[in-house]
Amino acid sequence: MIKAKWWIYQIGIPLVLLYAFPWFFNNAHTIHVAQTFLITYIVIVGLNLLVGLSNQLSLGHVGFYAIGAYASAILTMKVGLNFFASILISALIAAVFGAIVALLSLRAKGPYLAMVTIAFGELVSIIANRWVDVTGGPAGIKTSVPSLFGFELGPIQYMWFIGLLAIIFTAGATNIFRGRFGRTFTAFGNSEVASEVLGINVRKWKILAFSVSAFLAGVGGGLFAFQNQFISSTTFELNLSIMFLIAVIIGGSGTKIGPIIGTVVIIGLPQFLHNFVDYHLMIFGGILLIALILLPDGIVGALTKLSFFKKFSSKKVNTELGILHDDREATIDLPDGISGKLLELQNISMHFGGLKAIDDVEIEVLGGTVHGIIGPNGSGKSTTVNVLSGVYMPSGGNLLWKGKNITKYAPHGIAQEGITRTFQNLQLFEDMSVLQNVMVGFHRHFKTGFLKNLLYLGQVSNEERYYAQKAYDLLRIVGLEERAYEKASDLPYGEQRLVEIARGLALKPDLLILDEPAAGASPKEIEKIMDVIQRLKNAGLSIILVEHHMDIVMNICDYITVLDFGKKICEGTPETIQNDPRVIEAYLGGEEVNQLVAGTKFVG
Amino acid sequence: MKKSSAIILVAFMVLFTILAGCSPKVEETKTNTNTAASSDSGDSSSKEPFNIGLAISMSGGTALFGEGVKRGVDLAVKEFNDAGGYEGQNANLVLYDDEAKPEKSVEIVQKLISQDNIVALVGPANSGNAMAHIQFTQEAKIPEVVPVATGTQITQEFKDADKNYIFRVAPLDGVQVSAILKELIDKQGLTKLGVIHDTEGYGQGGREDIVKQMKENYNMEPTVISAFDPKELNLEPSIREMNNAGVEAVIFYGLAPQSAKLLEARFNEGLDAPIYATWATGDPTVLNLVGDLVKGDLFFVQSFTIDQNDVAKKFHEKVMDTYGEDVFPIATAQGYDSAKLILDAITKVGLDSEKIRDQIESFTDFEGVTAIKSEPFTKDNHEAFGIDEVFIATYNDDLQIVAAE
Amino acid sequence: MELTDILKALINGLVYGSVYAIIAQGYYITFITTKTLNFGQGDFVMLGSLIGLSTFITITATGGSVWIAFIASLLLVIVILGICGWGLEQVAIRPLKSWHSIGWILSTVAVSMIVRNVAMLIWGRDVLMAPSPFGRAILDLGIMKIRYHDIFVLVSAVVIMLLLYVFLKKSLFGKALEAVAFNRDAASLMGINPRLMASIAFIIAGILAGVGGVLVGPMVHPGAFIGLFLGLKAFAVAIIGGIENPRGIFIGGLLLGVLENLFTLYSTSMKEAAAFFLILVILAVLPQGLFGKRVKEKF
Repeated sequence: MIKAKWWIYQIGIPLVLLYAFPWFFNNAHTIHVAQTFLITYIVIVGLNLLVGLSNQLSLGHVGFYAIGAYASAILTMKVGLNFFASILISALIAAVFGAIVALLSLRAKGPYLAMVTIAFGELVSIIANRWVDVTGGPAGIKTSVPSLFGFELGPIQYMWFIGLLAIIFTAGATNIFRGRFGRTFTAFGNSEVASEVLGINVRKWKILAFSVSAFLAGVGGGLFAFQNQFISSTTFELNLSIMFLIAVIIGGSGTKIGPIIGTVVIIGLPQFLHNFVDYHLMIFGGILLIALILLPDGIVGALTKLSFFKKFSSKKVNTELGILHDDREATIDLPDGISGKLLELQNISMHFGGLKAIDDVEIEVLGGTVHGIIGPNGSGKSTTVNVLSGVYMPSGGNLLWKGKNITKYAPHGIAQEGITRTFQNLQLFEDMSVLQNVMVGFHRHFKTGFLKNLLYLGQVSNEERYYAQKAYDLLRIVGLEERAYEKASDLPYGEQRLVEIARGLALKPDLLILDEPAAGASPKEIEKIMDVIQRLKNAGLSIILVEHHMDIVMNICDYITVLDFGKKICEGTPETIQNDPRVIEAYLGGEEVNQLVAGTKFVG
Repeated sequence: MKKSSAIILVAFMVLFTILAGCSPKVEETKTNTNTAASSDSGDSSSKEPFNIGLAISMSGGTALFGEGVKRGVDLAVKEFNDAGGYEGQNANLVLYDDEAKPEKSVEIVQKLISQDNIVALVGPANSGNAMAHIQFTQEAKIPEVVPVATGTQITQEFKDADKNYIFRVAPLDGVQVSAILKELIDKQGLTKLGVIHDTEGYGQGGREDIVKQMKENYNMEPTVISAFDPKELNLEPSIREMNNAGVEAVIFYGLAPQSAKLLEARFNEGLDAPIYATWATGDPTVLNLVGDLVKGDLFFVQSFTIDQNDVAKKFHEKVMDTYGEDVFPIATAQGYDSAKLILDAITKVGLDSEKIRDQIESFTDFEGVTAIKSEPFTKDNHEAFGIDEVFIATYNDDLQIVAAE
Repeated sequence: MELTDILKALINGLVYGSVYAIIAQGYYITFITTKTLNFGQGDFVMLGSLIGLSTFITITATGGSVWIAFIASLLLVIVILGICGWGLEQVAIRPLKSWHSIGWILSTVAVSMIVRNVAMLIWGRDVLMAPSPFGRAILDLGIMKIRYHDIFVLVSAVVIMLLLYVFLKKSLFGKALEAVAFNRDAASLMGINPRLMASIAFIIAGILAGVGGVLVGPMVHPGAFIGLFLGLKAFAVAIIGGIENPRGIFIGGLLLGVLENLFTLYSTSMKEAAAFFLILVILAVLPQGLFGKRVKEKF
């Protein structure tokens, strides 16, 4: 049923529209504009994956577009390949450059990322301009009339051909959107660190996102090369990159039909401004500005906010994942317990410049226990958690996991080993529903690859449904099944913490690190959180609990380490800790203060 | 599942191919039938104006050329209409901005052809834009007169076709380069020539012609070539490069603003060799920008000066009367002549595009304001300006452009 | 011969680099206060130089002395561009400022399109001559010649930098600005109005663009379409230096200017390509620019 609907909406109707178009609007100009529209649309679909889903910024897409155009022109004219084959090859070349740009900009953010992409685009456009022997420079080079299997494609056939590709790519993009790949793109776009600790290799995924996006830009460029059978370097300038970005944002970035609307705006609107020779820049700029102010989420974003569409879209999520069962008992799925030493910190130090945030700390965590780490503010708890989860690389010492040295592992490597964590400063994937947040946690258990997801084979939808059910079960365990379809960022603070716990559990961890899970929660929520942790403990999960609330720590922990000024000051069972004078001193500033507070001593 | 998807996909492909076979035919020739019909009934009922297209850059790097040409074309159209039009039918100028982008140029030319039903086209300013769109005007059988773009290839593209629809009223690169090389090598016997050019289509096209002609005609090559980005603020490095290479003359290929920058750089840096430039350097913008820096050892190719004869003088006055200023006399004059070619042809043969083309090609009594001849074109020559119509000019002490000695 | 060439390249580089650096300071101020910047800064520079040149010409034509004309045009540009900066913040930044969006990039681009179009309607499509108060006078040092205007630009840039530095470090506003940059919420609790700070930051950015425009005018032949290039160069400078470090931006500007000009000794045509390549390399190694803060994020 769903499948049939998908075929009708994604393939059937667009095909009919595409086929019918030239019968109704048959003149050279409209056909040409339709071609331009479809070519640009393909580029926008790719850019939307990058900007909309993974929150990266590219102001250099014209570079990939140009590479696609020139490579396919050269492959056709000089090597003599068929035009379609050369477009595919040059799109792959563009994808390789996408990977290179991603590598260059891995650590760059915000305006820095913008500059990397601008510099890349400008570099390509300068090379296209100066390398006249190959590119023809601004005087341009001629390409051939596109032909397939010996048939020359006239303007209308070429439009159909581009349209067919556009439909195929749209279907692929939609499949990516609804599957685990889209989810992962969105996840690291929302929070890189949270994605990492859930086992997502963000570097690899960023490269993938850039490559896919560059591939589509390359296809667009290749198709463009044969549209007028002529290309010149003056086409490929920064302005075009900005236009592409305008289309993504104004259509509604990260939405499925945003690219169509956005492309209509950047290709369609200027068609009506031809007559305003002296004012067209102003009118376009004005409309753009007003649209951005009135519809900050883009046109599609604004529409989905209307209640009618909202109902429609939330229902859709429900049906796509199939029916989630409430009847079966939800059980926590955990790996076999390990007794003995699970994790060892050997002489771990972490220095920031001259500051020793933690200094020569040794901790042993035993399997099946809840190990508390406490200490006053600035004692190095957070730093310890960051070192344990791989977010920081320790300055000295070793981290042993089941006897294996994991000191140099990246967070996603540590997650693959079965350690994950929650965050004191919440790191939820804000653009996703609660259920999807938890589904990201299953990342390392998913098996289907990119191609299968692109085609959304039965295997993929089975997998999706299976893990949706599992995620739903986890939400039932933490008591959030009612909230499954709400946006994660709309939940109250305490419930957001529970979502993080559920998300961590999805990894099926051997060790779960809870970083202040009760901070900022209301007393009622704290009770709920405590209850959840208690149940996890009963189920045999090994936990490291970093917490301020003494009642939680003392009630739940089997063993406690106390840090102060980056050093371990004592260790032991809750009883030992409670009575240790060093702890009291660390927390309350010494015996004297303690006496003052207790009223046994007076000032004066 | 996978199999059935594949089958459906293949089925679609097959269906698609079949459907593609019976595609509708693109209506490109709508123009001709329409205008032919309207010309038949022109005198009887409707006095609807017919359309002349102008596709040129009104923004971007060559916007000033667009502005200049537009004024000339406007004047020509106004005169034509004031004289009663063609049997009472007025000409209407449809102007679209190609933003100095080839893909935009294709778009608007197609719009002019298939939606505005133009009978003839004037444009563009950029050679790249011309190369991108001329195939569409050629196919649609719309005569096109190029008023500015200088790329040598433009009129050659369809020279072997039955009828070449592309004409030009502008000194093309090949001719300008020949004129300069003739002066420098044949007349002055120089051997060490430096080239400075911009990296836009103009400069790169010129460089290509210089290198080619030097090689083919003189078996020489430039001693040094320096290229600069037209957005570049400072051309002193290029001047230094020329000085260091010790060239005897510098050939400069760039538009007016860059010419001005070059002259400023020459003033700051000092250059030991004379500069020989193209017609763009004779543009009054250069004089406005740098004043008397144009004096001394600056030579350039010209086909039109505002005081070359009485016709030119009168035309310049008319432009001044209409617009209050003459932003770009040579572009305006060439634009005027381009439009006048079309409109005079219409007066003679009516509104059939093909006949207009034939008439433009076979004028024997054309009167223009530039150096254009009364018999500007032949079947094999679609260039209004040959080497005889251009000359080397310079500024005299009163800052007027005069032919060089 | 070789040595003087290098010397000339150095001086050229310092002059142009310092102009870019001044324009780029505008990016710094708005970025630290609002995490946004004006992608159309270059068009503000263009507007500044065109308004400046019109004022200058009008006053000198009516018989005013060049220095009165220069100071008058500078003041007028400061007022108008300040207002433009304020207007930009009102229409393109404030309504769009949600942390999750990059809409502000496009809204500032949209404003720049409008500015460009307006400038084209007022000043035409041609480039114009912007006279310098020094005319074309040249200082001849024997081994090399320098335009007085170039020296003037270099000195002004240093003076502006110093003024800006004193203003940011010593004045109450500067401290408030830094407080907002450091922690918006805390600053707002201390009675600093972040919205007001944002407005002031954009006004200053506008003024810097305008002053940069007046200085750069006589060097470039301003016209309606020169903005994008200048803005891009200044943006590159800001990024190379590290957008949150004003001194870094200044040094980055000089560095880019000098390296670019030294490269012209090797090839004039690939200069731009070399600059962008350099930027890519720098950012690949130092993703926060040369002098940017490298903060370890806390989680």
